[in-house]
Amino acid sequence: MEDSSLSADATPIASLNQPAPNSSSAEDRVLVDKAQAGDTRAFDELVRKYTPKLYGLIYNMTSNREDTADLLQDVFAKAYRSIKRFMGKSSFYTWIYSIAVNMTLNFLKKRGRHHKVSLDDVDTGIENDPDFIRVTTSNTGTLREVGIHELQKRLNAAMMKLSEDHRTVVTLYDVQGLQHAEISKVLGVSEGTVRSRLFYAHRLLQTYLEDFVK
Amino acid sequence: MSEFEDIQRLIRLKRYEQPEEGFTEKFLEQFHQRQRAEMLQKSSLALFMERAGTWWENLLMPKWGMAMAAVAVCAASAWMLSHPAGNAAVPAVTAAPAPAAASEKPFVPKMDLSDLPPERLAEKSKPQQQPLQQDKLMKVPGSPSSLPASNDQGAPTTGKATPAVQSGEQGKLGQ
Repeated sequence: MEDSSLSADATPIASLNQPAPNSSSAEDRVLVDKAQAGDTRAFDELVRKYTPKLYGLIYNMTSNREDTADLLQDVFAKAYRSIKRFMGKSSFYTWIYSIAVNMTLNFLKKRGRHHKVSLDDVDTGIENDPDFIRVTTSNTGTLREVGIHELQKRLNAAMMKLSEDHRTVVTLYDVQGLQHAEISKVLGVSEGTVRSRLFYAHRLLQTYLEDFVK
Repeated sequence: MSEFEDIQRLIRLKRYEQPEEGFTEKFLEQFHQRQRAEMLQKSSLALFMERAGTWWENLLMPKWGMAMAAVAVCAASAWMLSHPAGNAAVPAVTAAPAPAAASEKPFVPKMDLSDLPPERLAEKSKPQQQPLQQDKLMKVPGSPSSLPASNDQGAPTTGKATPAVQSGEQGKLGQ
């Protein structure tokens, strides 16, 4: 699947989850330089810019909005403490994504399997989403019959059945819209590993959600 | 890729799970509060560390002071024991003698008159000639031949002997 299909989505929610383009990286660099010089407002701008993206990443890995908010605080606090050590060898969004992924994976290891699911509300814009329309119109079975909230529960349940590594690549690729190379940099693994994990995760998800995709 | 196209479309719908409106600004405000709290906490911790350090220094300083004093005393004692007293006493002895010698009585050698011939013995017995002979002996103070042979202690012998010795030669003796 090409990521251009994601950019065709005109909804503002979807646009929040697009990967940072190169021009955005240049803007980030300016803000990072200012933050490194002690400009707290510049860091606030970075927080404003990356809060929606990182929230989506952490939320889809934890399926708990309270944990997500707490973790996001920890991520930005760590980034603030470490901003002067950021050398600019990678883009800022790769760096902040790496912090967020690592901290979330550590949190999930500590949390274990037993946790309380706390889901966000589904934006009503989903009904106008081309993917939603396509899926609902092309399917003759369960998806037409269940409501949006039931669909949300099933999707989250399927995601939580994946291992943490597989859930991470699915979140970064399918939900966040990052490219394989970008995921490779964020996770510190090869692109081949990313593709392999992604293939295996998709296959598992297809099994878990087979009644929706028939 | 089409193999998983439908499942990917389904998963992509999770983007619509969003936090409540205004979350970002609320989150930023909480972030600022947390930063301030961390700063206060850090200041308290730093203050505690400073106080603990001061207390520790005050606790240890007298002991260390006494220990250092004991070490200094031991070192000084060891140094004094390792250096013999003779080496250290030499300058004191050389510097001190002049005033002490001035208070001593002049050494007058006893002469054995038995070896002298009788005529010389008769001359010696004349009382008016004795001061002259003493003056002759004492007028050449630097000459070894003029000093008595028995004066082997190096002590000055002319402290009150004559005014010439007292006035002119005392400096040499002192050296």
